[in-house]
Amino acid sequence: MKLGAVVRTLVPPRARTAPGARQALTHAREALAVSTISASGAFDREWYELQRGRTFGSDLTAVVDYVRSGRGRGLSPTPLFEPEWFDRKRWSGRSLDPFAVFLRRRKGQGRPHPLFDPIEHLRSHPDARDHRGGPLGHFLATATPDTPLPRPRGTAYAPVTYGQLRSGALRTLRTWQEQEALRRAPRRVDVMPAQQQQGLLDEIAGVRLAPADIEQPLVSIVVPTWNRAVSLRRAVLSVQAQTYGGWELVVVDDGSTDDTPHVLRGLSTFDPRIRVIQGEHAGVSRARNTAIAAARGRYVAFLDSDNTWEPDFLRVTLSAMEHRGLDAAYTAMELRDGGRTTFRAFDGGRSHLLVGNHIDLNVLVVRADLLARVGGFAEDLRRTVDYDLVLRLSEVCELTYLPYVGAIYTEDRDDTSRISVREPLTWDYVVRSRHLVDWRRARELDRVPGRVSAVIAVHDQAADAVRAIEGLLQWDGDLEVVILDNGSRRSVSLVLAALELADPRVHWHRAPTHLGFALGTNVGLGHTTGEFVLITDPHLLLRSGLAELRAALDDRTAVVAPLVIGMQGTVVSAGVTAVDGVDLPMPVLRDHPREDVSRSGALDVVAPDERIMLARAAEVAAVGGLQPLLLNDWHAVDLTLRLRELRGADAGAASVVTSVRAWVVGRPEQATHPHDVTVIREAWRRAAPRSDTSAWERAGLRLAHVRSVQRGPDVLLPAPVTVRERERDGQALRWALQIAAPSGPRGEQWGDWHFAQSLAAALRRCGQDAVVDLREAVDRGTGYLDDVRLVIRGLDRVLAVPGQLNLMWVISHPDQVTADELRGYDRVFAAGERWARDAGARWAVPIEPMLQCTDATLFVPTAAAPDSGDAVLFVGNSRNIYRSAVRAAVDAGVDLAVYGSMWDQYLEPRMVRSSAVPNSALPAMYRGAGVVLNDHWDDMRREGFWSNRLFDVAAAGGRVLSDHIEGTTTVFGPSVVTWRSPEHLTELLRQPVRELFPDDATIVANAEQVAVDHSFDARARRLVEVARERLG
Amino acid sequence: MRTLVVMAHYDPHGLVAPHVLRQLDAWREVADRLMVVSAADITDPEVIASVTSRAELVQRDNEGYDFYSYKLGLASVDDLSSYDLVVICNDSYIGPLVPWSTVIDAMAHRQVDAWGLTETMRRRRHVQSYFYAFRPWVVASRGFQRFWGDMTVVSDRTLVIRVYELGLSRALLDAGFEIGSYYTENERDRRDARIRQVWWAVHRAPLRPKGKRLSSLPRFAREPWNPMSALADRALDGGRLPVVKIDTLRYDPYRLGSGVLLDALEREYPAQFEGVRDFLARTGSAYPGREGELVGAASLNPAARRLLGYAS
Repeated sequence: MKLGAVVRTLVPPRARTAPGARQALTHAREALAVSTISASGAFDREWYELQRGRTFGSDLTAVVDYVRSGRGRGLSPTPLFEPEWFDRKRWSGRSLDPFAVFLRRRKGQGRPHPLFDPIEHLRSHPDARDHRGGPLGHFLATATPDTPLPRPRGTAYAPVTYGQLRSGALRTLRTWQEQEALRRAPRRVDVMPAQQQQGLLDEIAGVRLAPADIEQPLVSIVVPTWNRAVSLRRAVLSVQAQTYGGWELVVVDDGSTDDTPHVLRGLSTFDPRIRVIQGEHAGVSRARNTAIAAARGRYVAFLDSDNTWEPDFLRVTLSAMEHRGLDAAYTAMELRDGGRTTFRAFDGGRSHLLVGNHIDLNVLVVRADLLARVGGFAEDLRRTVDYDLVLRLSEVCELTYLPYVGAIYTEDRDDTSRISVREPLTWDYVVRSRHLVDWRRARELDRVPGRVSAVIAVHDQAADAVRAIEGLLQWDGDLEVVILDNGSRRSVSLVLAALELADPRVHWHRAPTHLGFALGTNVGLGHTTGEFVLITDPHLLLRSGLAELRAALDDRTAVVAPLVIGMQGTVVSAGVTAVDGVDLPMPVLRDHPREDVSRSGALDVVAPDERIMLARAAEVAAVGGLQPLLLNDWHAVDLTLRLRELRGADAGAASVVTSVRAWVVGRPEQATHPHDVTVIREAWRRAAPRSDTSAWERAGLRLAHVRSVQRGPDVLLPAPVTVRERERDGQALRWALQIAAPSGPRGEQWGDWHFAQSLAAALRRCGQDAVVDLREAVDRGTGYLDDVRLVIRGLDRVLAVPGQLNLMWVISHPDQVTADELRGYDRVFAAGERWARDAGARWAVPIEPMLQCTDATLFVPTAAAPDSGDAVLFVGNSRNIYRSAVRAAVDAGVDLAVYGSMWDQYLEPRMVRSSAVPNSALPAMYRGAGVVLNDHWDDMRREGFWSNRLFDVAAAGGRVLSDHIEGTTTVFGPSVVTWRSPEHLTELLRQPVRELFPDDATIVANAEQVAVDHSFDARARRLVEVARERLG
Repeated sequence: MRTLVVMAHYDPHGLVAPHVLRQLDAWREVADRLMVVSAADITDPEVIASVTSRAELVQRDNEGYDFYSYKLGLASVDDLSSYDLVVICNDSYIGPLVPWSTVIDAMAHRQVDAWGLTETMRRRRHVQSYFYAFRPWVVASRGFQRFWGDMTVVSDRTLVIRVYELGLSRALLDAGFEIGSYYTENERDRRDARIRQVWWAVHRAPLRPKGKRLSSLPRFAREPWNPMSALADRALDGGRLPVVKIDTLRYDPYRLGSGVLLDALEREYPAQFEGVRDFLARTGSAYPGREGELVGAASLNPAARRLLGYAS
């Protein structure tokens, strides 16, 4: 019995919440975890010590430390187990340590690491199930450095040995720790070390600086100002109060519109050392550069008009520089914010600077010739120009820290004119993009022709990222995947870096801090070698279609992108276009069912607008990659606009390849940042793309209006309102088939999905227009375009929609259907004759029997030869139930082949051939099988709902053993033989099953009859007939 | 140095008092242009001639106090910023007790953009507006022009002080300019002023409504002082305070014994103070006491005189 169950049994609930009891429970859980982990032999003490930064006297003390605090700190017990990677669903809600939970599961459920598949290990080592540490404990107990890891099923990973993994993990850990040291370096401190300061003052005590000379000042002080008349005076007074007077103050008025010029005239009238240069408003960098050009001093110091110096700043700094012969030096700065005082006092180098700026321009003094050498301030930056300059200076000289408080800065949160308030923080990313990426190399690199370099910037989303990367790696073309680990947690970095071992096409690079999507991608771009670059995101899943995307990138096209399907199953992005009178990108066909887009073929758009796009790498480098100013949105739009400009309008097309789909997976809803709107509006206006509404027209729609949608507290964005072009559609009705399958690739494995697709195709063959809505699209915003809503009733109750013809077809789970639910519908069909009759009578609702059916174009007897496949075949998921047909087959000891998921807990791994089967492969499997097993949910059997599998197998010329439903033979003929209990099935399977069925010619003839009577086309014809009756 | 002086004038009887004429004479020695803007009803040709022989005279209706006279005077000058110094002043004081050139020369090298003869921290820091001098970059500034451009007629004295007297300094400081004053207090001035402030608080508190008297005493005592009242006797210190406010003599606001002060001033500056007593007597009925203040010179006993050290 599990500890939790013991506690629940023995201790009443109230007592469990008492503090003492809670503590005792915690101790008990810890003790259990420690004993489980210690006994498993899976704990790697050396590995743990390296993470923890300390040593332990014994394995036990290390395990105790891990359980009590190590896991909470995100540390792992072995390189093969990352607590964060281990599926949370398998241990969340329990207080037991996840590693202990994993070890106690002997059947190998869950993956401890992306490169370790416990089920695979159990396949090759069945005895591992009995090991005290489960499959992982067994592996670690028996593995040598040369032992290959059990490779996860469904991946194309290369064999990796345990030794490779462990040494790789150690390398990654070292990298991570070094980068963390850079990131966590104390750039601000609470106390200024007095001893250091005194040491500096003692050192320079005897230094004599050049006497003040108004014509030949030692230092020129550069002060740019713009509308800061009040604070400017304080800054100037602090200069005049300097104890060293050999300075000139060059103030550049950057086109102030307040009284700054008059104030400056007053200041300069009284002090000839103050020189004023009046300029047009051109930004702080131009102003500073103007001052630098006019400077006469050997050194240049900088002071902003809202800062003040301490009286000895110049004397101390210049004395130290003269004494030591320094090129550039900076002092500490005191920062006052409310009641808190801290000091920006850090002696760091260029590697620290690349992580974050620790040098304030106001306490920096530089040799004037060095400033000229680096070209002064960048005039195209609107913020963090100081950071940019410091980074460029750090390339050519050493910036020496002087431990002296040279200035005091008081935070004024009410000052709305500050650059830090007016301009977004992402300018910092713009600066870093220039310094972290070798753009010249990226532009001029001799790139590998044809190669696609996928760049994926990942911050802490290990599971999503691995899924996305594994999806990309399924492509067998020339591919490299550059992972830019965007300052992730240790556990995530370890997981991502391990992929590099498993596939030589994967390259892992890490940034010490989170750089955001754009900058992270740009840094990744700097590591690519391919001719093409696919920019993507961990939340976008692209499993196929890279070849199509690459082919679509022809000479006239700058960017291509897949169609992006959202978590609703509807279109999230088919690109953006321009619409007259709208100064922002207009999303094309967003929130439409994908069928609306597919009809358009490849869509020529102004730009794609999701975080996935393919372009030529050299061109992306030529325009400087993604725009780091943008926080969340419009990265692809901005890049495309710049690529179009680079290539010229004729060769700058953008295309969304609608046959290639990427899914949004696990992405949280995110508001649009107002700064992003400002940035893209500016870019959009500059590019002025031509209005084009053809994307809607090709989908049979017309853009009728533009409305606004709120996408954040201060953000309104344009959205199209479309209407159907009825003239073009003729008499076709638009059908929306609502099903219970979830969106995403998983949902496409559901039977409901294939059922709906086949029905939609049949409706189209009847001249209708049909789209399929997945479970999440139940309230799709474009639902108003539909004429008929046909709910294919599965697990979910769906409300009828006013204003449309509402039809329901109950194909399963009749027990969940209620009378109230049906009454909202105009017409109800049911796939069970008995239920249709009984429920219709009981509820006084007409219910028309309409059995399930088959896709007669797919399920044909010619797909394979009889008896060419599995002897006993079962296709279906376990639904977490040991299904009776499967259990009976196991009991019969037959050679059972199961295709489906969630069978790990019931079956030997050898029986589970695959977790999924493409629908297209099923006809051959059914036809080739000795016999196909089938069972029904209890309610479906009771109410006479034959599953569609029976129709498929019968139409494919297969033979089925299915649980008994009255009338089966009438519907399916001799292709289906029924069993009345699992024991009966076991009995049937123990005899030669072929003897239960007629000869093959009879089976084939029966198959053809089933196809005629029970095809989707037959059902579609009836549905259209009903709809026409109602709608005319 | 090109200097423009705009003087605001008012007399309840349509006259121009001798001390005003003497001030005009003093200004003529330094001013390139001297303008009197009078809200008095001056009709006597001789009186008019006494002014026009010394300055330009602009007559206007009696509304808006001295600030509106300043505004009209400044507005009538085409290019204010062509002057090195623009002075606005009124006739509310006796002086100068030293030549204006002495005052102007002393201020030439002080790093202030606008200055007066005295400044105070009462209510908030400001130059007292009976005398204000501006350098050319100030009169060219938006802050200065906006102040005068936005001015409307206000006929409530308290409001004029709050909005315009304090407002002018506020406008200049907000624009980024620095203000200052010719008279600067030394340590002894400050010590005397603090004692006199307390003295005044003791006399002033009883004027407050019953129940608030005791509580208002410490507040009154802590308030910043008005140097023209609390330190008026610094005029006797070689003209360090170069003018004496008529209100100080008329109301003795700090109850320091303005009669003694006037006696001393007449002894020290007989020419400058000739006719001042007559002026006070003639105009007394037009300037009754203000609400909440005592009126007339206080009479102090010897001990109090020693404590306050006023005009002694």
